[in-house]
Amino acid sequence: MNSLPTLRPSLFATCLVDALFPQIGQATLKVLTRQGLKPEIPSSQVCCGQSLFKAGHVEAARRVARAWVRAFSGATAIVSPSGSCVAHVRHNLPDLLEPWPELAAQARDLAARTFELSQFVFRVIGLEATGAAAPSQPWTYHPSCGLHRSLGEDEAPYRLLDGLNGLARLELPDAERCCGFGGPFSVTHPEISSRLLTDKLSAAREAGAEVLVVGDVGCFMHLSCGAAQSDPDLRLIHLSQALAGEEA
Amino acid sequence: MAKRLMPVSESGRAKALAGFTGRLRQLRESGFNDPKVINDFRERARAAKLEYLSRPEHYLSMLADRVEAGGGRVHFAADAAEACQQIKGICQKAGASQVVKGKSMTCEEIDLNPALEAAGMQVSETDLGEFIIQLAGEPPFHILGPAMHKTRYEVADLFSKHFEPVSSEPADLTALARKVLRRRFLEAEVGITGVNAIACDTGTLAVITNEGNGRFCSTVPRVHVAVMGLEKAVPTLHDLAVISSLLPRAALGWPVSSYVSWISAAAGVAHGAGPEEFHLVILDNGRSQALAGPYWEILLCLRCSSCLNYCPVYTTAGGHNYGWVYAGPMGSVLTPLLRGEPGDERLSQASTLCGRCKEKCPMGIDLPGMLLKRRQEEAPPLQRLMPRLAAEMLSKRGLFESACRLAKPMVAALSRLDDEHLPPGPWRGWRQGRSLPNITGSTLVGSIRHRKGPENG
Repeated sequence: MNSLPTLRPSLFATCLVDALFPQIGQATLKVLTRQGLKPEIPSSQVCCGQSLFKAGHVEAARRVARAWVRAFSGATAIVSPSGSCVAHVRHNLPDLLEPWPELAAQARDLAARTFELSQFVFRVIGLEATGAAAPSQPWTYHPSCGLHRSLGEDEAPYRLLDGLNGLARLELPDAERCCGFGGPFSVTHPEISSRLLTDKLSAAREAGAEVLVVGDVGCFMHLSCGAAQSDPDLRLIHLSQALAGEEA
Repeated sequence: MAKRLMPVSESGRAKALAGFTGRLRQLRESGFNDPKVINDFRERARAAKLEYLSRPEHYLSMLADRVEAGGGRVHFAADAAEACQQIKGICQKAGASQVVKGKSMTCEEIDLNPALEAAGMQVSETDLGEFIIQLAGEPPFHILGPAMHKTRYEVADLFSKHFEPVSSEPADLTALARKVLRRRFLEAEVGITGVNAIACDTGTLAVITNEGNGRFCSTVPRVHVAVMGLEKAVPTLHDLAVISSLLPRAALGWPVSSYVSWISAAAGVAHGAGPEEFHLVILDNGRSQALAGPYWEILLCLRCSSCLNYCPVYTTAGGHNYGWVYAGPMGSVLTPLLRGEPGDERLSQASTLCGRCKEKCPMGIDLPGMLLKRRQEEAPPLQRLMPRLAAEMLSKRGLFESACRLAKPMVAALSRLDDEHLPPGPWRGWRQGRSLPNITGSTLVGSIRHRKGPENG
């Protein structure tokens, strides 16, 4: 892309990263600056409202969506470490803002400029590798449902992960199976949710992994809080951290 | 009322569930995996069903004409009670003391067997799985494998109790079932089957099985009764071919099932080739109303079981947990529409919305979209405290940062409490198998802003 030097993508951290996982936001910035980009961090940014929307609270999600569009208005490109949040921005925000035609038009415009990190690096910048080192211990990847199915991005994360220098990715058995998070599902159906969680951690062990790279932020929270109880030796990192060469 | 779903508790049963659904996924992936073929089937099958559903009255009257022109009878049933009444009437008129049945989810839906038994008839399920759960007095656990949760030892106990002592060898069990059923097939006055699909232009119905019992039920007894939900029709015989071929592909990865019977029963009655009487019972039971509402797309469902086999929740919870005859994602959409007991709509919560069911549905039904819609209908209004607070907190940067600061000591306090002392709240559910996340009290965006000064961003 020839406009690359002037491209200043805005970081959409997401509420979970903002409040709980600053390391994921820092890793996202690191991946971008490493390619010579100068990311901006819009300081009035808020949540996209995905969790409220999925719990069925449409009106609440509408309010949050309105604030999100205002916070990011004018951005040339928006990059986020969460595929499910990007899917929400792309697929649901324009419809949610239909009552306000101007905001809806802005939302449609922003939706087309919003990318999940691996997608941005692979499709927009056009890179096959981030130049970072792979984890130094055997590792595998859990592809999140939000990134792979909702957003339909099934290529970028794999291409970039397989482009890391060093140890090759191990295949995760039944990788496409959900980790059991599902937002409100994790607390409305805790028994099934945590069963699915331990299934996922066991699958990583079955693959022979010491490090589990997780594709989305919600799954990362779920799996790392679960591993803290049932498999504290398994190290969990987010996709952005793997692409930044952290934990290498 | 549907209760909250729980994992299958017994470890043998959990293993059987994982094994059975895993095998079905494997079969499907090895035999039905070419995206172009899948897409082609999906488009043709959807087009056929959509055409039918766009003018159901037109097509159903065409279907009724074809069936009756050939000497068959058509009965429209508004609900389960009427359908049972009609079928009971047919059986009584035929002087039936014994009835044999092919596997039919629609008959499970209307709870037909008790209605016939109350009228003094002996009703025998003839699909091996249905035969087993009928003896056990249970609803089906899975659409394709109604008795998949039973070990061979449990089956041997059941058979020994009801018939004669038998070993737990699968071949012995099958031989005994065959011996018992063979006599009943020959003695029954009425055979009842379901309908996998039916062509309106010729009145030809498809019964697709793996055991041949459907063909036995529809040919040997003097009277054949076929029971269908009104969504099962397609316009033409050509469409019937598409559905007959898609169903086994989606279910088992097979291009064709072991037994595919296309029965132009009406033609058979007229020409003396089939049973002496043929009756087609067309059940509404909430379907017309569903067709007019936001969940109409579920009427495209073929009952192939793909959404069950790929669902992380179904494969952990199993069938009985869903509280009625339909389970998995399709059940969670269908049960509130067809049964509609208070609380059934809560099945919409029993999903992670991971989207795998939609991806694997041979008809491309947006199951997660419909579950989400149901959640939205059931959600409390914005005036209620929780959504209002959440909307405020998440849409205002300042409030969000204050909430993070406040959350720090709160989460720390909650983390120190053991499970029995946790106050009510979402953390109770979360703490089952998961620690509460660490919270620093500051935010990423806030700390970058402080570091760089207010002019940045």
